[in-house]
Amino acid sequence: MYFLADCNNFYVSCERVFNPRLRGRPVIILSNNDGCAVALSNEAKALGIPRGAPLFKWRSFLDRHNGIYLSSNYTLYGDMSRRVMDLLATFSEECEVYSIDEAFLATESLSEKSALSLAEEIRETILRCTGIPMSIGAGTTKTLAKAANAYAKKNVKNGCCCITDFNRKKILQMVPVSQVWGIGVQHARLLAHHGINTTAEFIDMPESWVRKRMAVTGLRTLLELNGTPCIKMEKYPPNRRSIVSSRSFGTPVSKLALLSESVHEYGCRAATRLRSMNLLCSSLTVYIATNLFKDEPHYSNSATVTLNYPTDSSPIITKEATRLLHTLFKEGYQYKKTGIMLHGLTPKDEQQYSLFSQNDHIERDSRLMSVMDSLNIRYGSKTVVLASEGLTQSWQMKRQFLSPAYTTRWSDLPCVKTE
Amino acid sequence: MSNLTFNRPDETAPQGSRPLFGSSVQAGFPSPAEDYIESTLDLNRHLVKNPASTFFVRVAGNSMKDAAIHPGDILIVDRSLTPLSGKIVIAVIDGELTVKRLLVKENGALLRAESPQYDDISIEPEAEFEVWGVVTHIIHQAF
Repeated sequence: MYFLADCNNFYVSCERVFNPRLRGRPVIILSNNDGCAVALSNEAKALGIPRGAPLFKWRSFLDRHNGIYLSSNYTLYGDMSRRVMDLLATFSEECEVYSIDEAFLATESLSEKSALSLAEEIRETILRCTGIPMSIGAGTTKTLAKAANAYAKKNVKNGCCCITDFNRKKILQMVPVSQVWGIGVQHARLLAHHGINTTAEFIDMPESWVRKRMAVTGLRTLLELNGTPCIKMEKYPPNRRSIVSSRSFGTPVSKLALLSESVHEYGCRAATRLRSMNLLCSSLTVYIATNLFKDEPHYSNSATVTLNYPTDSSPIITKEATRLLHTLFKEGYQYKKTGIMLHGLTPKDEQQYSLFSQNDHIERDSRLMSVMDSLNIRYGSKTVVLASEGLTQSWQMKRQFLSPAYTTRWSDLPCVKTE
Repeated sequence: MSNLTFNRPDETAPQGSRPLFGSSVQAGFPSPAEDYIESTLDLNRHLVKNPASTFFVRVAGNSMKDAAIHPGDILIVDRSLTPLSGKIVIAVIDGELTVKRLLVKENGALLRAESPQYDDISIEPEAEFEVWGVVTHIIHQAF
């Protein structure tokens, strides 16, 4: 049985854990430079604010509706994500972190009743331990688990749903085919053109028809929706909201140098993928973990850094990742896994400095490095430092409405009153 | 991109934690320190049993002084614990995180301030009220 556990309005929920005043109010989380809404609370959605709404257009509207706008606090979201994922990993050895706020879990086959009670237990545990509400969908394939999740989020009060052979048709009638995992805009349009709007209509289509028009990926989606598993738990999940590159080691690793190599490689890999999607990341998380299922000392931790400016540069990403790894590493543990997650993804062409093509960008970085090094050798170290070269305040991210780093900075701890 | 090579440790070697104590073997001239070798004390492990559900918060105000909670103290809060009667808890009151002692009664609950100047806050059985987490330790700077 596959489960998809997905945090509800994750960024907003993280803020609400530490600032209960945000509950019940329209809240939007802003993109880099406080430009537009990247995440919305249900109350904000209900007011008709679209994703991507520019703050300058909606600001007074939000003010009138007792709304709140916040800069994105990826340090906080990264830490809360780690907590959620650590807890999820205790429910199944097979846990695939799919993005900053969702993960697939795989278990042995379960009855609908036991699947639902496990889903409820997971949901209750995550909510109690972290304060983050989740929706959980279950099914015999990953695509069905995703669809069950989409259904549960909208229609089920406790946010849990299990699709079985018996209720599949009924539930899939309520899920638009455009929302199905693996069906992109093009295919959704094609299906609409043929009068297929709900997922229930789609699953009745002949395999040959689907294969002819939607190729093998479309066929795979069809088979999955009809209960035949075609998509395995993945190590390199593709995703547009965040990019994860991680791997479990064949044999445990205890040396920092080796971990460093792996983080370097994952960093390059993630950066390459970022560039192939024409995106920039504004924040990155590195995590390391020992094997939770072995009877030996356990340690897992993660750290997140918000970059000074969004980038797709491999040198910058790997450098930051290595720096984070050094802060996380502890001697004496047998590490099973490291990974890197890039988030806060924004299209490259929305950035001012997209003037530089990716090669220029990297080339500029390396030219900068060599000039900087020679100056530092000639005039003494730190004569020129990276942050000062070309990255003046105007490049710095504007984060005017940033909440505190509640969980990662001593000076930012949440304040509790006694009165 | 460089390929990773990992040295494969002996799979048959025993895994897991090593013994922390050297037993007092009565022979030869052992190092005087041998009997005392233990792992270093890790305060984190001592104070934080459930890392994923543990948060630190800072105290403002002195109405919990009789419970040895003072302004500026750091509280260790474990959200996974059940808020039993008598525990010191973080509760959400009027949209704010507040530290109080929880007393569960048959007809609802009380949130008690540990200072004579402040009255108890009584919670009606049907009232919306949330315990945010249970305080497990108080970190107070001695000077």
